[in-house]
Amino acid sequence: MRQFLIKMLSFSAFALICYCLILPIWSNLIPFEAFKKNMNYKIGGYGHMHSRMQEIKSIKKIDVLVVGSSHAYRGYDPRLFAESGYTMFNLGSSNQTPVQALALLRTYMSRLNPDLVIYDVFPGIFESDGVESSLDVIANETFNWHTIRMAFQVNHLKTYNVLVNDLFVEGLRINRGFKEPRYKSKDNDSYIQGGYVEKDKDFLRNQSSLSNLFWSPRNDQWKSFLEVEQLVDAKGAQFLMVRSPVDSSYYHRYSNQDEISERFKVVGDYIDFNDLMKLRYKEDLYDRHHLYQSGVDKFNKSLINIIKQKGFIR
Amino acid sequence: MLFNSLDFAVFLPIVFLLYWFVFNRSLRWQNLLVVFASYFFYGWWDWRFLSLILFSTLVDFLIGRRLGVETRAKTRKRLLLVSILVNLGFLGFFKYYNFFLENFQDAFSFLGMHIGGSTLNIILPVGISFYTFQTLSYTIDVYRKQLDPTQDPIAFAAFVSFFPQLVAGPIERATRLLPQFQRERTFNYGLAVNGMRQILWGFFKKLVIADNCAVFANQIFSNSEHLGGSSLLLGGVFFAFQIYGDFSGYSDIAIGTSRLFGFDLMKNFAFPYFSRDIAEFWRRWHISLSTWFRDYLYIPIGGSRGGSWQQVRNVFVIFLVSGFWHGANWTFILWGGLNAIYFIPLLLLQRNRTNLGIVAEKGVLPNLRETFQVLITFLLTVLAWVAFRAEDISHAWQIYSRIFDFSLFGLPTDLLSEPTGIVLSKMLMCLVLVAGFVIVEWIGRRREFAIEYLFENSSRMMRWFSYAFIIFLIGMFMQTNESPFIYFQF
Repeated sequence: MRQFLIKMLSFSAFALICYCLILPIWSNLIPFEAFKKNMNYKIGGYGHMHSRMQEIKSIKKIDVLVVGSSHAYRGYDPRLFAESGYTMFNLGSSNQTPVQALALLRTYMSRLNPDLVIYDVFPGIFESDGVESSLDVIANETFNWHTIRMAFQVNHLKTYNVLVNDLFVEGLRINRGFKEPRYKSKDNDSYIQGGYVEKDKDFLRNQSSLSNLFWSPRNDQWKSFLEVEQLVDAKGAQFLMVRSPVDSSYYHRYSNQDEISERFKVVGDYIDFNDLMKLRYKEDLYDRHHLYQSGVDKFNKSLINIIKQKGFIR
Repeated sequence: MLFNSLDFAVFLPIVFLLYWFVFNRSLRWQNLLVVFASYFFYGWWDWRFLSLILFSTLVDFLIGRRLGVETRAKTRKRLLLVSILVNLGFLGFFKYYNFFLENFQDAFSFLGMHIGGSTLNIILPVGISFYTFQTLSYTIDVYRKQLDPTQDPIAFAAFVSFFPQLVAGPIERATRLLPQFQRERTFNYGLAVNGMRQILWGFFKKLVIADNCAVFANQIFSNSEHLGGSSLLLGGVFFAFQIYGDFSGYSDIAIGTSRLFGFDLMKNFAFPYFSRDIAEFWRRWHISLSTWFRDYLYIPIGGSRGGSWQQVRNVFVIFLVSGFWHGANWTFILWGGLNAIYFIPLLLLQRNRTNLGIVAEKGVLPNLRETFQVLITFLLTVLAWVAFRAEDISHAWQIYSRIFDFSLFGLPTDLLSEPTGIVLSKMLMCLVLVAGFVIVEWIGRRREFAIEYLFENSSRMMRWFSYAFIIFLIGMFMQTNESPFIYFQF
């Protein structure tokens, strides 16, 4: 029996080492994506996260830091904030959930030392398991303790696989020659300094019919969200939750809108721009919930006014 | 609790350590732990159904004891009848009540009459068909005086509920498994290591082969009205590997897990897709169920004795009942009927016991004749699986009518367009995995399971590396969402 247990433990260690060695070799040598089913390692994927992570290394003190999903990095334009005299960095990423936001804030909050952290609280991100976003963050962010912690929190095979591969890629500096293009014609996206991504004005995404939903946030995401608020508070910054404007048909598909608002209001300052302005699909939005630059202009100007009026920035 | 879940990954080592280190002082305590762990394992789905197992266990234990002392033939027969009625009564109610009611209603309405009764919202208890047959084997064997009734209720409860095989078999015989609960068990290093290997291979079959094939089988079968014959046949092939990987994978995990606890369960699959005729296939597929039906149904109704008509009738009975055992749907009966039709010519020509050995037993590759036989047998099983997988009879008919038209001879390119929308590279990936799997199974076809003695003459490093590589393949190709085993629904 003793021999069996020792052998099992030895084999487990051996298998773990083999796994960690075969995985990056396989992932980097096999050219066919289909044969890397549980390895979605993409440096510079959708949403320009690589450019954002490269740029942030050179940023020091800022006034405003934005976190959230694509609604964040496509909805808050640093150029408009700069016109009002505020330095802003957009730390949003594709499908970013509170688990990823927490990891990113733990890494950058101290150095950026913002006066105000804006969290774009798109309801869907609280219902996501965070796997997709974790892959994006790990592949594009420098390997660090907070991303490892995030991977364990997400606790998904794909996340672990990407983490192991990232250790290998960064350790051997395989990605050192990579340069993400500022403009991606495939996505009609331009990266703007400060973490923002602008969509081409002639891009339009056809919309399918909407189903009614009932918002029910996952416990793990809500817990991380509260930790984000505590972290921001501990660093002495203001915390503002914003729901950026979406098409009204999209907004009203949640049957428990009041509950959503109430839940955020308990946490702190919360502004729902769907109560303040009506933007429309095709005019200000390229789909039912992502803004064109014209929509961003209207939304950001209104937001900056509120920030000024309410004195969110010292 | 699913084998392919984190819950089981925690549960198994805990029970293993308790079994060998804490409860190892007496057999009774070890059996008690098995019962407790098995009820916990089963109750993880729905604790309410534990009452069914408890009741079946109690009834059959008491009937077994009475059968042991009762000498009057009539009373013994009545006791057996009670056991059969209780067990099949539960099975009939939970599994077939709605089916019979609906079919009676349809039949009577066809004749212009209306009969009342409404269907019930019945949840099928997981694994009821398996443990019902297992416990029935006990009373039948005691009745036949092939087994002495046990006086130990804990050993009997452990036999009925033994968690590795409780929900999807192998369906063990009391004559084989019960004595193992009644004698001292010592840890056997070789058996345990072999068990671990079998568990690993079972997980590979389930997580990589079955779950990946399931994606394509589901897409093809759910869009069958838009697809041509070659695509639908390919769907059948995917389903053939899905169900084999799923069910034999479960059996491997069950047998391997049992070995860790010092038990030896019966073999349930013996590389059935390398069979040279349907009779051989049925000696290699779901062996525990086939032999159960053989011993408790086929032989009692006459088996292969009597005239041709009687033999044909008996074959039909056993295959139709076997089909119906799988589920309350005419598709399963059709599947059973098709297999009977395949089997009967072999029986009548007395060629059903021609291929008793292993294909290409002494060679590396099969000869042309064997290759042809294996391919034809596989094709026949795929055609039968179509009925098994179809939603209902009209769905099966729709697929068959397309398979047997000229579209069978075209390339299955319609799979790649909407609404099926299969990505070619992903489908090719799955086919490459299946091809690799078939090669490993072929190499290991003389063994209990394919990787039993993989690299047996190589260094330990080489063997360990090969197992680690299988683990890597699981990590790279498994479906990441938890998917239950197909046979749980039976």
